[in-house]
Amino acid sequence: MTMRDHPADPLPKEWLPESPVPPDEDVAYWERRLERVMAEAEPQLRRQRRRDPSRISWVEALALRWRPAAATGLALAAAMVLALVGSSGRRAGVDPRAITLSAVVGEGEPEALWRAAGLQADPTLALIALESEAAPRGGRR
Amino acid sequence: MHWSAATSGRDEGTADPASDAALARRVQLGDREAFECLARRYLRAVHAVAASFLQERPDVEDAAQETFLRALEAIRDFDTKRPFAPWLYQIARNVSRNHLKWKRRHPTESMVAVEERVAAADPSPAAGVEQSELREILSAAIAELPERRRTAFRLVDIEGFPATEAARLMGLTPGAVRAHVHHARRVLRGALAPLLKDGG
Repeated sequence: MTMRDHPADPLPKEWLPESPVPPDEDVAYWERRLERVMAEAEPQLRRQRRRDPSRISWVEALALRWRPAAATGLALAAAMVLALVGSSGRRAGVDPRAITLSAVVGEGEPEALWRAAGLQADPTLALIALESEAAPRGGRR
Repeated sequence: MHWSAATSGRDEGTADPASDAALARRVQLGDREAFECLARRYLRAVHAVAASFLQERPDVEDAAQETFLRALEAIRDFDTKRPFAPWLYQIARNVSRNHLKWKRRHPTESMVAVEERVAAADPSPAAGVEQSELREILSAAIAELPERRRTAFRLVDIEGFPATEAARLMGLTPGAVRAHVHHARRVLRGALAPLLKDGG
């Protein structure tokens, strides 16, 4: 082989640097390399399997796909719970006039109802207060 | 046993269940078997791409290993309507370039020795040029080629990939790969000319 060959002819093999990549025929080498690649890929493959929608519950899938919406929903739910707790707190200080006479009659025991409402008051006075409250609305008893 | 896409006979974008796109879709769901199939198909090609940047086998192996792991991490974002091979090639290229940068910042003794031997090689028209010396000079000349030209040359002339397969991997037309190889050969012969003009 000389420089008189066409300049774009392939260079003689013996001139070329040896490749660090073994040939196709070195099956044992490539099998080892593949095993190594697969071993190192295993943790990532496991993570990917966990993300597969067909392998997770609908709640997880929803959480993964709609994470922002789920966060907003959770925030709304938390706000509703807080509002309910707040209103039940206010209910503890209920105005005795808000208890209608029909409720007292339904309960059948004004004192018990009065105590349930959290007020320390004379049950007789309470009954009078309730009756006087109900009377202007048409004298229901 | 086939270790390169060249012999796998798969086409991109076909309904063949073993096409790259179908395998990539399965890998996106964590299918181990599909990933193994793709890794087997591109194992040698990825090593060959890494070898166009890195010269020592352990470095090439590390870069190839990292390429497959990066590809696996990124596969959820891979658009399976696009060809898989050039996507993987880009990852291999980036990983190998980063390895090369790191190697240059942290040169080992063997690298320094090779570079010194190449620099010390007498460029005069010596009557007899040692084969090993010629190879070292040629290696240095190959390293100086522009990246695509170097990769095309290495894949075709050193690793023995058909131009069509190198083109598929690099996302080029076979004609473009042949042109790169043609120019690379001319440049390399030119680099060797002072050493060989009395030799033949």
